[in-house]
Amino acid sequence: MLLHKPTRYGRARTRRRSAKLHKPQEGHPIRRLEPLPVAVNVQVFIADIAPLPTRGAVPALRQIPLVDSQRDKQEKLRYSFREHVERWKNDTQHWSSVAKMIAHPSYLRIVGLAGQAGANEIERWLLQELQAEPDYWFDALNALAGEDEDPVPPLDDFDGAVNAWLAWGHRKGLLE
Amino acid sequence: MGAPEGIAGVVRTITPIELEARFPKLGGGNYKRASQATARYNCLAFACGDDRRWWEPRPGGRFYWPPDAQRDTSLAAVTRIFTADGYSETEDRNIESGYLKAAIYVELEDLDTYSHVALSDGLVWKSKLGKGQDIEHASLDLLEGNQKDEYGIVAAILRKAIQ
Repeated sequence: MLLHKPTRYGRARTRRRSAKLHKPQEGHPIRRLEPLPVAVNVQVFIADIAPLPTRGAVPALRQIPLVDSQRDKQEKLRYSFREHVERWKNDTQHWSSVAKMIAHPSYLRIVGLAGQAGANEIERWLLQELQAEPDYWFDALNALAGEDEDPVPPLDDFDGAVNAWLAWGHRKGLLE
Repeated sequence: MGAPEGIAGVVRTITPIELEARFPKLGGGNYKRASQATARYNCLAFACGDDRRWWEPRPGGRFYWPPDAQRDTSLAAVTRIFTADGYSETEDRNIESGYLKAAIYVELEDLDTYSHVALSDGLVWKSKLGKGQDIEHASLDLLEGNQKDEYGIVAAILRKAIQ
């Protein structure tokens, strides 16, 4: 004996029931449910333990020039050089002591830039600077070129020292 | 005296606006530019009548230091360079007709080392501003102070009669 009449859920009945349940009632507007925030945690695993191929090992890599990174480095170096030259000239313009001028942090930094530059690059720029606007770059040039390279005769005056260093630059191919 | 245009030692001469920013008491017609800027000689050389060499006790022909002078840039050493040349010390800061005068400045942070020398020819004060230009200025106090490039205070004044 059946205690309960089995409920029949045909499609039509289900639709009617659903429409009744979801029929908006007066004074109760439909409330849309906002989607719950769902955190998606995606992890990408890259096998980074394998060594990168060398340029020579992958023929295609030989076609990619490294010029851009070298040019960026060169431009940064050039910018840094100009920045320190301008700061040094600005700060020391009215000083009466060369000993004090060449101890200025920017002067020392300019000499230090040689460690990051290509061969003779800072010397080349200093010679160009000396040519354009003669100033006390002799100590920096001397430090970079080495004492044995000092082209200035001991008794030369300022103009003589400028000309001696410029002639040295031409001989070394650092000036055109 | 002073560097003419177009010579090797001439460096960029700053504009009056830039100069007055560096020496805030200059302006309003109390000074005038007397030369181009040059790194060839400094204020001490200029005050001693030399516009070819930079007076500093360093080796090299571009530097000069009187052979008998104490080889440092102390106030005492620089004062003696002038007394050896016939100057005597005075307290008078004014221009005196018929007298050359040298005023030695020192920085407030270093009262023992000279920072600048100004020269009067009996008519006006004249100064070579480091590697910058020569100027003529109305009084010594225009370069005194500790703002920007100002030279501190006048610590000694010397004079000698113009021959």
